[in-house]
This record gives sequence, C-alpha cells and structure tokens, in this order.
Amino acid sequence: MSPLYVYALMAGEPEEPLGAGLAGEPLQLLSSAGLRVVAGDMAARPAPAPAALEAHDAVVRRLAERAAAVLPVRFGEWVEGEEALAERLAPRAASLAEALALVRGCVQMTLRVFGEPSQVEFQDPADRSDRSDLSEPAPGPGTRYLAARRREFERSRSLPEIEPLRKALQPLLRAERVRRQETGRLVGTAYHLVPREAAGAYLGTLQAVGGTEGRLPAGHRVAASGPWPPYAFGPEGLP
Amino acid sequence: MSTREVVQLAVEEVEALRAELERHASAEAPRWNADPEEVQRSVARLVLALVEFLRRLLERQAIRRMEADTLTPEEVENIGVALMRLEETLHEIAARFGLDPEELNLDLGPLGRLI
Repeated sequence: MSPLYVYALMAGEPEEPLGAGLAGEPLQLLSSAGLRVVAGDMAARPAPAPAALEAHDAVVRRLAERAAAVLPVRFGEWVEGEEALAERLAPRAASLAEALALVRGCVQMTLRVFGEPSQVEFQDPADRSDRSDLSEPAPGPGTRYLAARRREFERSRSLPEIEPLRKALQPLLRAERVRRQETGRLVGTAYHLVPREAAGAYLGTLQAVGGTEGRLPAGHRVAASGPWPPYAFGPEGLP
Repeated sequence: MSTREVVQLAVEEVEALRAELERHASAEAPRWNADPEEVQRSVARLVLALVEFLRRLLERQAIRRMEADTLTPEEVENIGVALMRLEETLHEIAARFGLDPEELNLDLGPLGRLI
C-alpha cells in the first residue's frame, strides 16, 4: 500500500503524458470507485507552504490543458493508499461524475467584488413579509425565525451588487458559485464556469459594460481573474 | 491557461483578501484542553459545539423542507420555535462557561467552518 497525493479527477484520456507532481513524483491515472483519479506516490502530506501551493496549482493547470474535463482536488488531499482512496470516493462517486460532466470543456473565471457591503439591501425573492392577503394569519415567532435564517443563508450565497453584470455575462455562464465574505472591503466572490473558448468574451463583456463601475453601486468595483482550472466546482475535500 | 492575467488591486483590497485567507487559516477546531483549570470550559466548548452543529443541520433541513413546501404552516412554526429555544439555551449555557457563540463554530477541516 503506497500513500497517494491526489491532484484531480479526470474524464477520458489525457492528450499528453501526465508528467510529474509537486515533489517530482511521476503522476498516475488510477481507476477508483468508477472515477479516473490523477495522483502521485507521496510518503506524507505536504505542508501548506507558498511554494507547495504554487506547485500544486501548476500541476492542476497542466492537467486541465491536457484533458477535456478535469475536476481539481484542493491542496492537501492525501490518502494512505488506493483502497483508502476508493473508500473515500465511493459515497460521492455519482455527484463527482456529475461535477466532471459539468466542467467538461470549461474554465473558471473569478470575480471579486470590493466595496461597502451594507449599501445594497438583500431582497429575498421568497420573502412574504409584505403579504398582500391580509386575511392570512400573521406568522408566529417560529416561522419568522426560520424565515430570517433562510434569508441569512440566501444572503451568504448572493451578491446583488453585481446583478447587472451577471445579466450581461449570463449567456456565457454554464454555472455559478457565489460566496458572500464581507471581510473588510471584500464583499464577496462569484466563481463563473464558462466554456474555455468563451474566456476572452467574458473579459471583453466585463470591459464593455462601462468599465463595470457604471453598472455597480457607488463605491464598488470588481476585479476579474482567470481563466483558472475549475477549483470552485471541484469536490470540497474528499469525503 | 498558460498566461496569467494581471489584476490591479488597491492596498485595502489586498488587505481584505489577506484577512479572508487568515480567517480560514486560523480556523481552530475545538480541542479538549488537559489544563485542570480549563478542563470544564474546554469540555463544555466541545460538547456545545457538537450540539450547535446538529442544531444547524436540523435548521438547514427545515429550511430545505420549507422551500420544498413539504411542511404545514403549523409544523414550520413548531420547528422554528424549537430551534429558536435550542439556540437560546445553547447561548445561555455557553455564557455560563464564558464562551462566545462564535467559539461554537465547528471547524470541518477541508470543508472550512460550519457557519
């Protein structure tokens, strides 16, 4: 049993040899739980140092260029051997296969939104607090509590500040993941999955919509980066 | 993907990104502390974090069922009241041990913090 460091899941055959991993180890394409996994022999989990993170990213980028569908595994996923890998993948094999199908031929564009988070009020589309039918009884404290938690949860996954930009970008998006962070001036991040050939059009569209600032609330701006491998659409750590 | 786009960021924006990274990096899992002076608080933190984790799971499930309209208004009200009281109770017990509610935020390793 040889310990393995896992880089990515892959669909199909790579167009070129896989090359070496972050420690120079030869990469292997393993079959595990019905999935194809790119991994390398590694005696211990690498420490999360900048050089190791960059090396991991370089390997994932290279893999993404050599296969039609690559689902990156985040840094630090290390298992004791092939059996352990299969045990961890099996419970999520179906959803991982779906994720692989989703990212086929796509790259990730990352849109970070900066500004003052309190300026835009979140509107929950399902909020029924302005009930038009006054014959309905007013909701009790338990219902209001759950509704408030629901709004809070929805808010953590929404960035209404960039709604006009999203509309302009919508035709290019295959999928979207949003995280509202509200850390200092970082309001949140939208991760957009776009077809590889549309990455240029994505950046062009952002520029075309008035340098973006005309479409954003005052004091806000966005910073786009990419194309990246679809990190935000990969497994959230192996199970 | 061979070229990297250069993104210009203001100093404040870089600081915000740094703070977000540090927030994740510093996420500390609740651990039992063998110090006799701290042992009660440490155990209380572990147990309360676990209960808070389960409460959050139940809350998410209730919200999902609300969205799917598989609960009657009466069930929504009853579940909401139960979860609200459980949260109040947890916070009261946490306060007795000098714990802030944020300290009950369970770290899920590679998944990040629960809340």
